Amino acid sequence: MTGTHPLSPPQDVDRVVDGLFRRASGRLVSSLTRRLGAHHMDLAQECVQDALAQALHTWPYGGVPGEPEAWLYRVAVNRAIDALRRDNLGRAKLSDPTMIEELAHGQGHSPVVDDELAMMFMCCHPDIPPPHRVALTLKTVGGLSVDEIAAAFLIDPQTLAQRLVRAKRQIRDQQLVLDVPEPSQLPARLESLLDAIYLLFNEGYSAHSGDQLIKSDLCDEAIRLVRLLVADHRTNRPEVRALLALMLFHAAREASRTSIDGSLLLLAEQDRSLWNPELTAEAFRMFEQSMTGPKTPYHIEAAIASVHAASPSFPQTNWARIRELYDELLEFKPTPVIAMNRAIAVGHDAGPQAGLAALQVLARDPHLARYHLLPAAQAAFSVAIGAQTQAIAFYRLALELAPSAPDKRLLEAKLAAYREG
Amino acid sequence: MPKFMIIPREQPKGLTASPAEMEKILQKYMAWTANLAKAGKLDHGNKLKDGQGRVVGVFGGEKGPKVTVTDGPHMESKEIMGGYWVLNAADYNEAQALVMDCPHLQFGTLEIRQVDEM
Repeated sequence: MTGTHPLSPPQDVDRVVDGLFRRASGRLVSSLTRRLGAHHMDLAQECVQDALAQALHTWPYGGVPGEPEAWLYRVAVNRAIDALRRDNLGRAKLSDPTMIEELAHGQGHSPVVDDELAMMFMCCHPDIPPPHRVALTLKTVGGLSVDEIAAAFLIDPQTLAQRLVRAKRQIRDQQLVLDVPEPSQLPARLESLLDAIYLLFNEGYSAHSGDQLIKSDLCDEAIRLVRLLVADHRTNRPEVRALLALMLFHAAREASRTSIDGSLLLLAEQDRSLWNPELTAEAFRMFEQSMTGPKTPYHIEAAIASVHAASPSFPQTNWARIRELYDELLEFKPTPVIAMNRAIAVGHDAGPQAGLAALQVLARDPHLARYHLLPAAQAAFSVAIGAQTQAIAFYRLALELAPSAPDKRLLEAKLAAYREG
Repeated sequence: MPKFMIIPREQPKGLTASPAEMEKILQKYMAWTANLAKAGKLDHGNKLKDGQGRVVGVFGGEKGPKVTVTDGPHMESKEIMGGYWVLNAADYNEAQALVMDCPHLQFGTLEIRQVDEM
């Protein structure tokens, strides 16, 4: 494809909108992979990376093109055509010459949102294990590098690279197709996609250490992906709206989760005036619109978040309702962590003794043996009943198990404050 | 006012950086040129056409020297120039001062040459 784009003067810096490269990279990789075929995913990624490098090497001198994304796509497509023609010359014909000609003549060009949706569905195919789904989605649609994803998940970049290789091999071997699934298959396929996005959001939201900037990128990316699903009539389903509501409720609280010195604050200590009213309002709207279908765990988790969002202060929280919701959630997902959260709700609802009793039962669960939030909760309820020695012992145990520096600082501050008080 | 051509050598690494990292570098360049333009110091800049070019040279062969034309420079080469700037400056000292904070210095060198306006 030839033709020149008018170049804006070099001083036109505003054209480079924040995040253009990462966003464009996701869209372009999706579109190009769709044109080339899923087995050419690596080539598509290389070509898009080349196009970004080309922009980096030339835009400083000539300015940002009038349509930056179209410029990038054209460069990436040209790279792909060159590479495929080279391959076809060198060895036996690997690629369909018609496909190359179509690419060369610009047929079916210009990336569309549908390409991104299709890519998400393929990366999150139910046959691909969930952690691999997340990694692949972030690499392709999210435009994050292996190092960035590895830093966010606190895993070795090589381990992550291997996950990506395995996931891509699976796509090739099973000949997975890059398409938005047919209506009959959509609900099941959507479930595995939402699983992955939920995992992605949790990873970004959790208090483990890691690069904070990338962490909030993960949350933003998860929200952006669900918004794409809500915006498309095929995927705008009740459970999708519930997941978006759930994430928006949490995102609205983001600013209040850390104190000025960067240490973590518990829900009880957060300054609720810092909660983002627009995001909360949107979350409530979305939550209301999610009530049109069967109840899913996302609905219940969104409901729990909505109870917190609706209460003016921590003590005024409707704990009885939260306890009920956790009971319901346990039926869907009988996991130890949800059981622990339920026990904490019991403590706030029926009193610290009841909470301690419920937590005591769970402390015997081997899955929770190394989970620092369990002794942390036991410590807090022990403080409430005035059992000093017991409270200090629980705090010490929690400190020992705390996985990250922010978690440790939070517990140390609690312990110190308690001893002084 | 005299004009000075700024010729960048080497390029920022693009192949291993993430899209976000590349964008950060690009924004530094754009902010730098924007500041120069605001101060009236940037005469113009030009990007060079992508992926094209010829290298012409005279080389000795068996039957004597011969003009040879090859395709290139190739994009893979880190020596390739993506473009150049022309700045307005009173003299070499000012031109030099103007490029001291150019983000390109992180990656390579800048050659400054005064345009001879006869």
